[in-house]
Formats: sequence, structure tokens, C-alpha cells
Amino acid sequence: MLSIRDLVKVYPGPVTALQGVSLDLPNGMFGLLGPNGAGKTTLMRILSGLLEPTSGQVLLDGQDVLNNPQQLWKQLGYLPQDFGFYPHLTGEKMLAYLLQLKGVQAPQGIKALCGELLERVNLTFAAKRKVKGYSGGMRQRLGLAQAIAGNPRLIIVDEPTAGLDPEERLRFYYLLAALAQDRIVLLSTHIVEDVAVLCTRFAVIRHGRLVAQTSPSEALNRLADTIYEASVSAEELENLRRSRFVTQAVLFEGKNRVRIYEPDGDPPAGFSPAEPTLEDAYLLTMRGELANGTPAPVAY
Amino acid sequence: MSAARWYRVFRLDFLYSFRRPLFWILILVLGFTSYGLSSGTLQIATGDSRVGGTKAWVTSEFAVGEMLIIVVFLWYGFFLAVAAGMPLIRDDELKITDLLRSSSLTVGEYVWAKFGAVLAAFLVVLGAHVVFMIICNHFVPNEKSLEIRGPFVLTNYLIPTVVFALPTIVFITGVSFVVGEWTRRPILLFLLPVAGLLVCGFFLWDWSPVWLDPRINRVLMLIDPSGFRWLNETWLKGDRGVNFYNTAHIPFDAGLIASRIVFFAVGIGSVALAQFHLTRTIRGSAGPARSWLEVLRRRKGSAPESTVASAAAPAPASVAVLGMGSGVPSFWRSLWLVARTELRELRSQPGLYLFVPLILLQTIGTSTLAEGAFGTPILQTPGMMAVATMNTLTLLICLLLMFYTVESVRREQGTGLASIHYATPIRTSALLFGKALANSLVGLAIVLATLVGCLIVIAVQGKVQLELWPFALIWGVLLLPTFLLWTSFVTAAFSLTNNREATYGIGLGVLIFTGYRQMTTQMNWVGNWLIWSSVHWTDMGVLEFDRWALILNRVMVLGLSVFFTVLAVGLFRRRDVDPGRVWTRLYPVALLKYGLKLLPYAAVPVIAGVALYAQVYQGFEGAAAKKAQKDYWRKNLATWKDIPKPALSAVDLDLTLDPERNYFN
Repeated sequence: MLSIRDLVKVYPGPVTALQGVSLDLPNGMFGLLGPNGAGKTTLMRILSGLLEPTSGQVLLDGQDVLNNPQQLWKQLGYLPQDFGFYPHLTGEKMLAYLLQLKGVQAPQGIKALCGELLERVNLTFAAKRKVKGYSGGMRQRLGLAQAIAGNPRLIIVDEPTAGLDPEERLRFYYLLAALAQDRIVLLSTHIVEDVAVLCTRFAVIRHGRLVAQTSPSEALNRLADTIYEASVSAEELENLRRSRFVTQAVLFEGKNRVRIYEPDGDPPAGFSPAEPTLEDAYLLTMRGELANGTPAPVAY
Repeated sequence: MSAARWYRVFRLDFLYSFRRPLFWILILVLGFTSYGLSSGTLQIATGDSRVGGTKAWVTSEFAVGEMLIIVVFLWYGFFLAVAAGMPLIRDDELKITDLLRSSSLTVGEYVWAKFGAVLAAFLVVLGAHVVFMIICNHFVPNEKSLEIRGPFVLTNYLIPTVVFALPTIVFITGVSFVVGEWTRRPILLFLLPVAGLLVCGFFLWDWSPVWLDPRINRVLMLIDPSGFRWLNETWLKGDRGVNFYNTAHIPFDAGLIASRIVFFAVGIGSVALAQFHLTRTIRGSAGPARSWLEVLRRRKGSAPESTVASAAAPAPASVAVLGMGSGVPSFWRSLWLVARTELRELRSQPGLYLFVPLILLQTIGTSTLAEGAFGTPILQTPGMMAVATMNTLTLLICLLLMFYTVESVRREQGTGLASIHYATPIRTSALLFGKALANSLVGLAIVLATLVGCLIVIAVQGKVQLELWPFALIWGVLLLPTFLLWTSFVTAAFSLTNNREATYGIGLGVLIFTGYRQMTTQMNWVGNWLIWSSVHWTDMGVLEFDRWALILNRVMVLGLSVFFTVLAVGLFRRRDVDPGRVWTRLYPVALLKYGLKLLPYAAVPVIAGVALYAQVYQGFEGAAAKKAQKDYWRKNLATWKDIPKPALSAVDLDLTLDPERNYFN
């Protein structure tokens, strides 16, 4: 269990990035959803032992890891949001270096293990190429390979699917899903689909506070019979934005396909009921609708 | 070119200069130096003043010129190299270059604004330096300076500033700028100041044998980028008398003026070259292949990713079947791992391949051209060569170790690997020791190059047996503690500041301070951590002079290196600290606790230092001896002060001088 208690982080300014975050994470995949600047990366960096909080406590299986990050690093797999590699090393050598730093052991040896891991992330073809020649997506995959290596107790992945094409994203989903069976995986993202596909539970963070903690199915059940959909003109869309809660508006075949939130069951003419999506739930939570308009965290 | 856009970039970088620790460290060093030199520690040596006559003023145009030349070329040089060479490298590291290039900003505006900002900032430094000199030389009360202060004449300061300092600054700034733009490697920025130090400081400024052809001498004067050789050879070497130096303006000749204009133009031209090169490299093609390896690489290409990706199965095999486990790698394994990876990086650094030939040339050249008394050739023995090259070797290796250590320790931050690297269970001590081990090979390469140079000189001389043990003793046993201390100190400075430029500033500040104490003959065994000019070799007895002082000094230095190593490991930031908690760590109780933890490591250097100081105090140049000397002279004066003068009114003397026989009667 990863227990986070009243975590506060204040940067000079002052800028309060985290305002007393508390969470309990058992084994499995947990998503942290929030917009840019919400405090996700700050929280990830504190949990990975790379940033000192202003106050608070973090226990991993009962051990205080804030005051003793060395203990944490023995059991951690971390994929940061923004990172690089030594440009002069090949992908294979870079991965081998990191695996050795992490003390990873495998029956087949490090070199063979690197080959296997690169194959899992579809980088075999570039194993002998220098990292400075890698594209952004390739670097992301190499980062993922080192994060999942070594059977870590806690895996933290921060915006992991950034830069990955749909096929690679799918591959990533399978990899992480298999890993989450018997360890804690914390996934931080602003892509709702990642959470919908992977996470059994997730939290929404806004302005450094948790505003919701739930599971995808619970969130969707809460929105049952409240989402309606229609195609409207641009002018109608502007009117709707002023008078209703528009959750999504996308262009489809030249027309605006709009989804609205109508808890009273009284949609405008032309709107038909639609299945709620996690994106609807997220957007409504961010606007405080599902949390009754207050920024306080709500568990439901 | 748009003046408005140029000014925007210029203004941002100009104001940024004042936020850099490097800038303020240099100002501090210059302020301190100005005060120290105003006491007359660097004076023009003229016959009159040496025998107790009128003193040479430190405020004359000649004295100010000499001081400015040395300080600007040697001390500004390194700071300028970093400040001027880094702007474009920094923009690359901050990943802002693409944003700037995709705007309306032209290459010319960008390049000239960046250069202009650095130049303007250092002209501010120069201005502050001149103001410090004026204040210290004329207005700060200093009883040691009463006889060496002349009247305040503004032109005494302005003319040397414009003629000597300004072209040197423009030259170093411009060349460092183009080196930074062309190579994008911070290490290479130090090539110019290091080469300048070696070539000028150890050769051009004082090599002037009697047999030197005046035309060659003239050429050497004009190719000296500082102008010191011209001043020394033309006006200072031949004593014109103290009154001349105190009151005359420096008579510049056409050759010197032309030389200064050329160096100024080279600096400006270098920036134009940087603009030209940058324009070529960012417009369309990647530019010409730098080597045949690169041509091959481009022809080979790589397997297109898409064809492989499309053949991949959607669901990869489970990772669990790999049977992985993890633990904490041992200290030695981690150390070796880090060292090996650092060495790979060092191998690809061109700096090493440039510094090594430089030191080789300098060693061979200096030894070959060295002269003894009355222009006689020197018999070079291994021990004498080992000691003779010690100063150059120490200075060069200390500079290189500083550059390589800083770049190595911040490599993870620079490449973006820090978040991943620091979140592994590797021990911080193993990380730092591994890097230090790899960087020590830089020092080893320089030492080996110097050894090769020395062996070549001895072999060509053909009069003395080739022996390695004196080199092993002097460079190994005596110098190794110096390099250990310096590496640990620089690493501790980086751990404390977590800032590359601040670390360079601290390191350069320490070197300058050490050099200043050496220059002003204030250095003693306690402060001489690099045993500069204090080892004397005789083939009749190995290090018999000052043996105990050497031993104590080396023990003290080794103890200090352990202390700084503990500090470096303890302060190294793998985790970003919370500013609020930093304050609580600075509370007296917390500081005291930390200090007590460090006390055992400070015991050895403190005890050795105290023992050494006691010896210095009791030594022949110590305070006790100086007091005894003063007492003797006081007593002597008292004895003879009131003695009646002999009753002589006139003396006739026949004196025959026979110079050819060195005889008179």
C-alpha cells in the first residue's frame, strides 16, 4: 500500500502546487487525471523521491520513503514526463546502463534482458542506434523499458503516452495492464482515454487538490441518463455554451456534434440521450459540477 | 536587421548577465585585487626605487597599464570564455532555439545581440574594475601606499583601458563566441584561455634571450594578444628611471596600435564568422559532412520504422516471464559502471585531443629554450624537469579537472537523464567517485603527454640517464594530493551551488586568489595547496630541503580532500530541496549538529595545518624571525646612531677598473 498523507508543496512565489493531498493506493493501476498545472507532476516527483515536499508523509508498505528515499529507489520504476538520455550511447547500451544502476538481475543476463525489453516496446530495430538519433516516441518507449525493468514494487508513469502513435499506445496499455496485477502502478495523465482503458480507480486533481476519487464505472453510473447529444450549427453552439453545460463539441462532417449535461432530464429539442463517457465525467468534475461546485475532494 | 528585435534579445541577455554568479564573483575578485595591488605588490622595478630612492607610483600610466594587461588577460579570460561561449549552448540546452528560429528573428540579430550583451556586461565589469582601481589607488587610506601614490590623472586609467584592455576583451569574447557556436561543447571554450595562459604566461611574456633577433622579438611583441610583451620589451626592460615611469604617458608606436586594432578586428570578425556558420547550418540541409564517418552514416540510413512497426503484434508478451529481480548494486560495481560510461563520453570529447598536444608542445618548447645564468644552456635531469614542469602541469590539470568535473557532474541535468538516473538505488558516493575516476584519466593523459615531452628532451640532450622514478615521485606522490583536493573541492562547490557557472566562478576565484598570494609573496606552506614554486630539486639529495614541510603539507591536503569529499557526497542534490526546509537546516542547532558530524573529517587537516603553521611561524621567514630581524636592526641603529662622525673632510681615491678580468683596485 502506498499511503499519502496531507502532502503540501509550496514553491517560491509563493505558488502552492499541492494543498494537502491524501491518498491510499493498493495494488493495481491508479490514475491521476488533471489539467496542465494541476500539480500532477509535482506529486509524481515527490512520490519518486526527486522533490522534497513542504510537509506531509508518504509510506510505502509502512516505510517512510520521504525521509529515506534510498529505500524507495530500490523498489521504484519511474518514467518522468520530461527526460533525456546520454546521446552518445546506443539504445541497448543506455538501457543496460540503467538496468545495472537499478541492480536488475535476470536469469538470462543483462544483455539478453535488454533485448527482451526492447522487443516488448518495439525498439529492437533501433537497439544499435545512438539515442541522439531517436525520435520522441522512441525515447518514450526506451524510457518505458527502463521503468518496467526489475520487478519494481511501485511504478510511476507521468504522461506516458505522449508522443506514442495509436499502435504503440495500445502496446503500452497491454504492458502496464499486465504489470499492475501485483504491484502499485500510478499513472498520471491528462488523456482521459488512458484512465478509462487502464485504471480500476482514479482521482482528479485541480489546483493542487483532489476533487474526486472514484472508479470509471462509478463515474459513468453517476452520469446515467444525464448526457444528451445532437448536431448543431455554430450559432446554436454559442447559445448552448451560454445556457447549458456543454461537455464536448467536435466537428463531424462539417457540423458541430455537441454533448450536454442535463441532470434534470430536460434537454433542448433535437437532443437525444447518449451514453456518458469518462471524458464527460472529467470535464464536469473540473468545472465543479459533479462535486457540487466546490473544490473539496469527493469520494463517490 | 531590425534594431527593435536586436535590442530585445540584447536587453534580455544583458540583464541576465547580472543574475549570473560568475559575474559577481569576478567583480568581487577584481575589487579585492584592486585593493591588494594598490599596496604596491606589483610595481615597476626601476633602479632608483630598489635602492631606497623615489618609489615607482602605482598610479602612473605605465603601472596601471601593466596591471590591467595582466589582470584582464589572465583573470577576465576564463570568465569571458564561459560567458561568451555559453549563450548559444545554453539556448540549445533550454530547447528554446527552435522557438527563436521559427520567429522573425534573423540569425544576424540573434548572434550580434547575444555577443553584444556579453560584451556590454563585461565592459560594465571593466568600468567597475577601473573605478575600483581609482578608489583604491587614490582615496582608500592605506599607510603602505603613501609613497607610491601619485596625483590622480584620469588619462592614466583611460588610455591603458582603451589600448590594452578593450581589444583583449573583444578578442577573447569574439573568439569564445564563435567556438561556442561552432562546436557547442563547453569544454572547448577553455582552450583559448588555457592556450593563452600557457603560451603567453609561460613563454611569450618573459622569454627573451640575448641572442634573439630583434625582428623576431618585434613579431613576438605584435602577436601577443595582451600587449604585455610590447610594453615590457619596449619600455620596462630597459630602465628609464622612476621619474619617467611616474610621469610620462606610454609612447605607443604604430605597430602596437595596428596590433591592437587587428585583435579587436579578429574578435569582431569571429562573431561575423559565427553568424555565417549559423546561417549555413540552419537553412535547409544539415551542412557539409564533418567526417567520412558521417558521410557513411548518411549513405547507410536506417531501416524505416513504419515497416517494422506494422509487422508488430498488437499485444506484447508479458514482462513477468522474464523473471527479473532487482537489488542495490554494490559500491564498486556502481563506481565502475559510472566510470566506464563517463569514459565513453570523454573519448568523444575533442578537448582532450587538443589539450594534450598543447601541453606537449609547451613542455618541449619551454625546456628546449630554457637558459641558465648568463645565457648558458641548462643540463636537464629527470628530477629537474619534473620540478620545472610542475607549475605548468599543476595549473593546466587543475583547470582541466575543474572543467571536466563540472561538466561531468551535471551531465545528467544537461541531457535530461537526471530524473531517471537519480531515482535509481545507486549510491551517491559511487556516482561521484565513478565520475571522478573517469575524469582523473584526463589528468593522467596530460601527465603522460608531459612525461613524453620530458623524455624526448632528455633523450635528445643525450647527457643524462633516463629515469622514471623522479617523475613518479614529484608528479605522483607530491602532485596527486593536489589533484584529489581540487577535484573534491570543485565537486563540493557544485553540490553546494548546483550551478555550473557559480562553480566555475568559485573555482576560478580560488585559483586567482592563490595566484595573487603567490604573486605578492604572501604565500606560505599552509596556504600553498598546490605547492607552487616550492619544490626544489637537487640530484645530490632527494627533497632534503623542506622535507617535513612537504610531508605535513601533503598530509593536510589529503585530509582536506577527504573532508571535501564527505561534504560533496552529503550536499549533492539528487532531490530538489524545499526552500522552506532549507531555512530550518540553517538554524544554529541544525548547523552545529552538521558541523559536529563533519568534525572527525576535519581533524587531520586541522592538526596538520596547525603543525605546519607553527613551523612557518618559527621558520626563517616567519613572524618570529621577522621580529628578531627588526630587533637586530633597531639595536644596530641604536648602537651607531649617535656615534661621532669621523673627522674626514676629503678623500682622494685612485680606482682602477679591469672589467675583462672582473677586477678592480
